[in-house]
Amino acid sequence: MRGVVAMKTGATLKHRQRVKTRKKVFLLLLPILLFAAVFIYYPFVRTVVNSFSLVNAKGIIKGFAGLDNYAYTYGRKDFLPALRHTLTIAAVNVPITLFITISLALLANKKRRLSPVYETMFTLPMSVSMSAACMIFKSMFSPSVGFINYFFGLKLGWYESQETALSAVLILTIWMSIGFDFLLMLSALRAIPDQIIEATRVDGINPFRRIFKVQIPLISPTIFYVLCTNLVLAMMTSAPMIIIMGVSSAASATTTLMSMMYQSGFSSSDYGLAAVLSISAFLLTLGFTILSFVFERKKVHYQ
Amino acid sequence: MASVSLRNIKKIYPPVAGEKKKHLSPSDEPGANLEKTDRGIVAVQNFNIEIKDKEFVVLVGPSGCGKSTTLRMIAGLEEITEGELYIDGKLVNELDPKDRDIAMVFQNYALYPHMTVYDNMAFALRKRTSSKEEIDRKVREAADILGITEYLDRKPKSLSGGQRQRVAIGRAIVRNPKSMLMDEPLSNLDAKLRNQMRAELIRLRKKINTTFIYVTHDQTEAMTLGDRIVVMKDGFIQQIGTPQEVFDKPSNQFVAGFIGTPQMNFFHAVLIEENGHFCVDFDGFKVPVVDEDNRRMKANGVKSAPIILGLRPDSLSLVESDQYPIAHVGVVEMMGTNVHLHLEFKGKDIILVTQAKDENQHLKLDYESDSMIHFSFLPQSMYLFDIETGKNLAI
Ligand SMILES: Nc1ncnc2c1ncn2[C@@H]1O[C@H](COP(=O)(O)OP(=O)(O)O)[C@@H](O)[C@H]1O
Ligand SMILES: [Mg+2]
Repeated sequence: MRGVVAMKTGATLKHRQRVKTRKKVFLLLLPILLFAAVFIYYPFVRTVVNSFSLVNAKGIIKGFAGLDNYAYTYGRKDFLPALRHTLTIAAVNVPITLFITISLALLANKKRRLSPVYETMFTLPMSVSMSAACMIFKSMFSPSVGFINYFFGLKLGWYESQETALSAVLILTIWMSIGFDFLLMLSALRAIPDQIIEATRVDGINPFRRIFKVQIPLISPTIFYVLCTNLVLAMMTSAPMIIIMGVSSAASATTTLMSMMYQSGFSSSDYGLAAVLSISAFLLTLGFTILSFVFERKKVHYQ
Repeated sequence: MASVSLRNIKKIYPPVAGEKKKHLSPSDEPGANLEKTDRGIVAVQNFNIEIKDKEFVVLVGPSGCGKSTTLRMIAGLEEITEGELYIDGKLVNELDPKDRDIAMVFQNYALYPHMTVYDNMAFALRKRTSSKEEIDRKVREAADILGITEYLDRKPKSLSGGQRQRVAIGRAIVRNPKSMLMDEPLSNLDAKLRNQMRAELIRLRKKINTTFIYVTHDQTEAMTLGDRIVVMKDGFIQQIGTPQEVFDKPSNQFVAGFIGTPQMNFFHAVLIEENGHFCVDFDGFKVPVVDEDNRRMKANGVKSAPIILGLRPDSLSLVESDQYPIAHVGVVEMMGTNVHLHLEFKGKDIILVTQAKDENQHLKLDYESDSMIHFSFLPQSMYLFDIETGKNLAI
């Protein structure tokens, strides 16, 4: 009997404590929640509303439009190419970035005398802002005076030609993601206890199996994080299209959902179109993120 | 078949860039007494031993004395700076760990955290040559020996320390290595589990019959497990011998103090030669040296001189008579069968171990703290050490 009573009071005590901590948590979260409400949730809701409304060029809602904006957007002949470019960038960017950063991290993993030099070199792209990088790459890719054509002895048109424009953008976006992702991969690899790697050496596990069966599984949480953030970033790519491709004759070869949205929203003030495009990109990204969480369930090992 | 010979092995760790200040480390830090050369710190030197096939050798010594370094050189995880390492008569200095036919158990288990217990053990076996059935048989056999069959599908995270250590040992024995290296495998376990695992290691050793090289800082483990013990200090071997030899005939004061618990008591005394016979002047009491030691000391050319006298706590006994040295009782530790008396004698703390009960199983209650007692010892229980070098004078 006494045990039961004790248990009951124990439970209410715990409950009271939990309510107290919950209150505290909300209080601590309040600033960011306010911030999010103003800058994230309101624009989001407004975008959803816009997509179903008739919006004039000043951004004022003039009436309910039903699915008209959607029909209009998906019916445009530049929508499908934009969708295709967006998906291509994600599909190429994410695996290549993962491959490059994991490889670089594996190469740089062992502490050597020159390690700080490699590490700094590989991490450098991080310190360059997207727009600065775009300007630099624009001059490097320049068909006539660019460094890349000169160095590799190429005669490619890069951003001025329909065939190569998307490749130029891909090279730039991949380069941009490498710095930070490399850093994440390297620190994850270095966090694996030395003794585990030594155990593979004593056990005669060859480097190939060590990498694929031990090291990569052990850094899988980081790989998953990089995968998700890269996916979102790739889906949202727009800066290179606007800064590099802007006035190029090949601009249509790289249009993404986001750059199309930018054009429609800021240049043409077609807010209905812009809203539908951003919601489409959002839903796509959401879908991929959910898919990657399925991957997480199966492949990601948390310590 | 796996004999292991270490000949004049030396290890120098090159100085690490940006760690120069470490030389100023206080002297109680591990490794502070290691020799430092301009090539770096000498973690191990002059290491010579011939380990026989199926022998169980324990490297023991205080933290930082170079045990792990030695073991890692044998494993091939650490480069050998100088000297030769032979396994089965073959020089293996330059051989990869995988080609040395060894298995190693690490202090922190080093299990693959993302694999099940089964996979942890099977991982190293999965090579093109072995069939699935054979791997399965080996894994289950090892699991059976170690009593971990029921955890085969679990991940290490969900196991207790003792179970993890068993898995680590299992991972080593499935490969049926010629030699088994263990670096403080029990030091992460609590005292009770450690005792239990120690007994299991002894049993295991009978079953698997390979050469064992075992590192520990715990002298009890060394005494109970080893066929031979290698006592190390500051990168040097102090003594190699069977547990009995090391206990009975420690080569120097360090070994005498390190092996045996509670620690041996050391006193300043004077060795006097009278009519061809040595005796020890201990605080005015003259104690004759036993004949055997007397003979050896003469052969060693020992002269009358101040010395260090070593007496194990259990060779001191309480006496009623006031003819004997007197000490002040400090702390009294009741250990069950024995009582440890911490005594103060001439400003020195010493320990005396005595039975808690008399012949009639009555508790003796006359060890009150803050009282005075008299103690004596037998001549044959004396250990005599050179006051400067610490060398045992009678071996
Ligand atoms: N990788 C290393 N680099 C430099 N010094 C080391 C390294 N590993 C060990 N040492 C030094 O070598 C000495 C012996 O270490 P170790 O063999 O690990 O001692 P033990 O295992 O007996 O405690 C210690 O002083 C330690 O600081
Ligand atoms: Mg060690």
